[in-house]
Amino acid sequence: MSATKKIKEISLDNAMSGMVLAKPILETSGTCLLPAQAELSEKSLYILKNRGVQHVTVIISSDDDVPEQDASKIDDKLKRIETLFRNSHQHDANRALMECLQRYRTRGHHDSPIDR
Amino acid sequence: MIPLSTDEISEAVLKLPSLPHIVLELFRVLDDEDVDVNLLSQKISHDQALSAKVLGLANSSFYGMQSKVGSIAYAVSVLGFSSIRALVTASAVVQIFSGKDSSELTHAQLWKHAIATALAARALAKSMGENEDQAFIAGLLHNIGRQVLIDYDPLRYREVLSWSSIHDAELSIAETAVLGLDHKAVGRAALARWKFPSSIVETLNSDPSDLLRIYPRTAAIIAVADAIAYGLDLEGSSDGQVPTLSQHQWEQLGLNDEILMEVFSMTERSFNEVCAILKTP
Repeated sequence: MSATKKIKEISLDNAMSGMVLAKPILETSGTCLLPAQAELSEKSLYILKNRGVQHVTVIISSDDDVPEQDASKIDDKLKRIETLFRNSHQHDANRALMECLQRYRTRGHHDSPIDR
Repeated sequence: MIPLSTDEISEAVLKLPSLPHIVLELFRVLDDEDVDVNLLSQKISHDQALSAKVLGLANSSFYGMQSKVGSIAYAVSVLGFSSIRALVTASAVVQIFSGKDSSELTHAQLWKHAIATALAARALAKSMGENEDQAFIAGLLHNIGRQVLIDYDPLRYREVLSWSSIHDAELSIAETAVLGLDHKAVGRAALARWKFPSSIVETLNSDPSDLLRIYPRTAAIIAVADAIAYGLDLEGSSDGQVPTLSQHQWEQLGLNDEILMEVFSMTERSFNEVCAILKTP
């Protein structure tokens, strides 16, 4: 199958040098750190990490091996949801919202703890 | 407990800077059929800081417009007057608190939470055919009283934060325990001083048996949006927690998985961009 280009938001931890940005990276102050179409380098990844950037949107071809969120990251997110609902999950409405957030965080991930 | 007196609340509210005149004007013409949109567009354009933000939002993924919105007049014609009013109000209110800094619970964190709530509220309103602009503004302002309290007496608010941390309690509970009131009372006073329409002021009414009945759906939307904003973990605070939702308000919205997933995704998608445009301090 030929490689089709896709735009994908990935966590900075999964970004690799050589990837091309689909969207500019803005700081909360509005300052543009890197424009769209810029190619990521080890140096820029280092700087982005120091600036607290967590996600980048890159152009990828479908046969690029971009790791999906790995299981440990999903586990972290699910643990964080449990922490956020620590004092409210016993209420029906909160539990319904919490379970929906858990499904949202594990979407498209087949080995997720929720699907078991 | 060091309760906050009524006099102190009045003083805190009186110390607030005024909103730009154009915001008051936009509220005044709320129900005016013969409003001169061109004249108002011109007036908005005269405030350059405001109009830059409004155009930024109009061109962001928040609206997902295909063509570039280059002027306020064009923004009004494609997005509608009501949306522009919401954007002007949002920009003006955030501007008032920008540039202030407190090292504890920062204004930046509060605004991030407010923006996440506003985006979730707008997405919820959209999915149920309610007024999106009103939901956006009400969501953005739902914790404005907290900003006022922190500004008025940062030391006393530090007591609230430490109470909340010791008891692992929501801030509203800590506010009641330490100050004898929660921030919503102060928020209502602030919005009343700024002459916001009652449809927005009353979404901050914390007594569900009372006036809330006039705008029950907007109030329910804001309560659920607030919980979603915490649940999506967008404010960047490590000790945040999702407040307890009223079962009644939750059921009132009749949400299902499909709607909620869309709301989560819409909220996350626009969040960083909208924060950057409004330049949260």
